[in-house]
Amino acid sequence: MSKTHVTDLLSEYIEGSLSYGNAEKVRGHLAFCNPCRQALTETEHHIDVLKSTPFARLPAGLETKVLARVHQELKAPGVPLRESSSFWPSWLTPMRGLALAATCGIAIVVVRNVPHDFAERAEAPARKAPTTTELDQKVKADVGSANAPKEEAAADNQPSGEKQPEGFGGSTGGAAVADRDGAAAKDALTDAVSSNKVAPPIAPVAPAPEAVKAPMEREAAKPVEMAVARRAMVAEEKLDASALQKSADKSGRLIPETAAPWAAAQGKSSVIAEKKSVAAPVTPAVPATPEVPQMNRQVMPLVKAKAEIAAAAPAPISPMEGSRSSISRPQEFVISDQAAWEALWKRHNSNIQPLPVLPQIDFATHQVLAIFAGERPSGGFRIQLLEVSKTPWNGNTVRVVRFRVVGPAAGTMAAQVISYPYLLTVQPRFDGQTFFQKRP
Amino acid sequence: MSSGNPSLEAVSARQPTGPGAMPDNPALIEKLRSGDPEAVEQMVKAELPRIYNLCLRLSRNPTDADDLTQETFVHAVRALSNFKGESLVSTWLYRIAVNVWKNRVRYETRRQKSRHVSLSQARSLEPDSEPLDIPGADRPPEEWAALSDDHRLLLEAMDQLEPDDRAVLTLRDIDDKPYDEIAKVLTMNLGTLKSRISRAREKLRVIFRRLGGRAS
Repeated sequence: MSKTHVTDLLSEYIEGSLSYGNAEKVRGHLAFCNPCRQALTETEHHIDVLKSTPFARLPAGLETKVLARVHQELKAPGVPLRESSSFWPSWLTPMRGLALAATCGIAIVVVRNVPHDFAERAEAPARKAPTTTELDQKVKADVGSANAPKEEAAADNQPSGEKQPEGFGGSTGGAAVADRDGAAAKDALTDAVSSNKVAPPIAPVAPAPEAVKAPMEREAAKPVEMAVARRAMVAEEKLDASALQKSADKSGRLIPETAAPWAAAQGKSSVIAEKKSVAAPVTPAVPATPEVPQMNRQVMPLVKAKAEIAAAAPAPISPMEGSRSSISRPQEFVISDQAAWEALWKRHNSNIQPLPVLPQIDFATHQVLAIFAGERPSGGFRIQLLEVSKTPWNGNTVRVVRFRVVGPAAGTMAAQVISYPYLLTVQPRFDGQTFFQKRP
Repeated sequence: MSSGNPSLEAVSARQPTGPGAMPDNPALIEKLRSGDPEAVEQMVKAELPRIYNLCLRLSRNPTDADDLTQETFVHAVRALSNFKGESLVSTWLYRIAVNVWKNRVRYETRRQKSRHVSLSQARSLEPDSEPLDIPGADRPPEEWAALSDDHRLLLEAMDQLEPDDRAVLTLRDIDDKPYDEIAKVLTMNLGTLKSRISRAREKLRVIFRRLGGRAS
């Protein structure tokens, strides 16, 4: 549509195929624009006139001529009904030479770019996830590097909570809060390792690199918390189970407890604050000894937890929270049986080959709540689970899942890639209705 | 293009031109694909009037319309084995007819551009000289007689449109084809088709006024 006239919309206006808004716009314009009104009248007239073009009768003998030629074609040897015997599709026939040349060119480029040690690489074992020992060594290195000078320098780099992403720093934000969160995470971790009363609903295993990387980036200014957080991620399934049990016993508000270990690993102060209220009375299972440095004492339960995890279930699982789901539309699911879980897992991981091993869920006692945030314009988005609660509604008890999609904080850098954040959480089985509430 | 054969009889009543004259049942399509002469003959008899009228409206010349119609059916018979039945037989034939006509226009355009004019004929380019022997788009007298002045002028204006614009207006405004069928015939998407029709109507309006057409 030009700035001054609506002539390019008149045709569709006449046909009645304009949207209501555009039709109103045209109608409004026509009320005061004489040239456009004139154009409308003329175009309508032309259409009417053309539509009245008479239908001509066939000239005498044309049908005979056409039939004669058609029969002649039908009798012609090899014409017309030969099946296409050519390898090339008919539309490609004129471009055969070009297509051949392009194919050869691509083949040459590919062959030249194949590395010489390709065969050796193919024979080499596939890249494995870091073993427990490797992880231990890396953790020690992290802890060692977390000593005073670097820690202070890091703290200086982020003196207040203002620079922290909103989703991680929480409303109170700040380094002090993050420290408290770190302590809470340690408490939770120690508690989980020492109690070990509840069988984990998901077969636990070492987290995929992504799961470790995310908290590392967010907590780059706090190496100590980062190291602890990494261990929290390692033992997250066990923590999840124990926290779940405790929360069910005490308050029935399941999610803050369930999310706490992951939240602790990521420094989520708002969720941790709730976690602390439950986990506070728990004492560390491993007593501190004067010979062991303070940081090592904190790490010890994690090492034990990892050893137990490695012995119990070596099968890998996908991170339960991330930004690369194959489900690209905002959707929520309650998964209550194995078939649905397998279908969802397959759909969710359809961009990963081979398909990650399906985590084992005991659907007799648990369900999976799956939340997919849909397409997001950049990295840095994640789903924050706020609460899972039960509430009476229309005479029944229903479950309400509240969550929000948290984006990268203003002024922070985020990867410029389309992301599809998701969150899969295991909850105690609830056979009533479940409502998902997305909070702003 | 050669001069026209004034053998057309214009009829005042507009005949139905929509799809459906050729019953598109799978058995018939299968017979067509296998080259069954009876099925082919049935197709020709059912679709010939529409195809001829389309060719006439596109070429504006009865003789050319005659040739184009024959060529269309010959091409169709040659391509019968490739017809998948994804569209109506009439739509498929329309597509062939439009392509045959476009090829003819392209050929004529090239022929005109590469035509050599001898020095003896060069004087013909002067204003008072005799016109060169360049084929025109004749119309059958009967049809001219039946049309109003505006109608004739509009058809002349359509002659000056680009082939694609002429094709969309012929199919939409003269043949009254629905958008989706035109899109299939011209193998373009609906959005492109709508904007092309819009532009073609505007061009037609401008040319019509330039030719002296009066605003209604």
